Amino acid sequence: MSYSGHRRTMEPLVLLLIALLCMSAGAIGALMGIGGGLIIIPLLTLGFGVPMQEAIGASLIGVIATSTGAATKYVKQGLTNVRLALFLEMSTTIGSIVGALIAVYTDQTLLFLLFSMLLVYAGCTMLRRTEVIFSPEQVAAEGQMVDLSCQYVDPKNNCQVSYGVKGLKKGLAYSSVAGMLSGLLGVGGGLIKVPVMNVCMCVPLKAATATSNFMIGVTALTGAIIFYGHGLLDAYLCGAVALGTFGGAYVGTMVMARYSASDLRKWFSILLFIVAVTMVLKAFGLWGGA
Amino acid sequence: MPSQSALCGVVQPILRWGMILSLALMLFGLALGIVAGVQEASVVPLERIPSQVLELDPAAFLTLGIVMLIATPLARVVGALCVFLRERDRKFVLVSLAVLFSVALAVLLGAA
Repeated sequence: MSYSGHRRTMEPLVLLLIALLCMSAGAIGALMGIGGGLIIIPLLTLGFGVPMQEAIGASLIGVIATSTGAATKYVKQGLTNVRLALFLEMSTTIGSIVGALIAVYTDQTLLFLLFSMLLVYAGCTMLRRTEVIFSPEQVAAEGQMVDLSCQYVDPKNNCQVSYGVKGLKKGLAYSSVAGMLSGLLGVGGGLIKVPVMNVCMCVPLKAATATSNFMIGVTALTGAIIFYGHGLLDAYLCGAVALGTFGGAYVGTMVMARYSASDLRKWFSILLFIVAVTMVLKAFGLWGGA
Repeated sequence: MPSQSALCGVVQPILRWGMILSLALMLFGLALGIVAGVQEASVVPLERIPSQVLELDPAAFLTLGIVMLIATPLARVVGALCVFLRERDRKFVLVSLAVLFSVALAVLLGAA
């Protein structure tokens, strides 16, 4: 999609409406550990006729706002596992570079279809299996590359949870795939990382979503710098999107505190199925463009 | 969990102040723009921000807010790196450096 070079004046009310609608993206992002570009991009392009490139730029800013806004709360509660986030960020960032480089040579339609199958598989796995948590001592006994164990107090019932993180090599490998997919398709980092952390690495769901949400800030960072450098960000649009997603992220952290991990796990699987359907639509050019 | 509290103690304020500052700047910029009746502008290049802020240009305030927002995730990786350096946690010093390096690489490749 080419940028038309023509700027529309955004009325204050339109900006307010965009900010309000972007709250939903911030809330879902904070709750599910995803970026929310999936919501912001179609919202801006289909709903407000914003050119694709500007919409992607604004969505990158919205993703950083979601990540930062939610993380201020989650880091304080101990839900964000900062070490685990940094550990996996190594492979997601490298993965996204590789993905972006090979994006030119690959068939997007096929990729979207494969991605949607992967999402359905991840959703089914999360529905079928119950959460297994290992204590830091159990994991330490097995011997891991690095100690990523962490503890938090679940805001729902004030229970302290200590957990060890297993399957580090698997986690690194899968999150490089998650990074590659987000580089290739522009979406999907969080949707893959949460099930990987939760199912393969035995990280409790709330910690997995908070950690994924935290990581997304760094993932979106590179794109945002590049867009800023090329002057492709619309200052007002980005401002409205950022304010909305900040607010939404705050709401999301409040919702997270009220529900149990098993509820969230069900919602996450449903989200995966919904996204899988939109990806199939996208593959056939029926959703939001790419 | 050797340094969880130390890490949170550094990372959390970075996020908090990054959020507060960028929110305040963006709100101010939007308000200025609405008062002035302008709601369209591209971001202002980094070197022009100081002079345009002094001229009370709404787009410059919005851009400064956006720059603060973009800088926050980067600052928290650097903040974490400082904690690991202080605790002589060699593995995680390398991990954070690898993250910073790959971000720089991605930006360089993307800008080219």
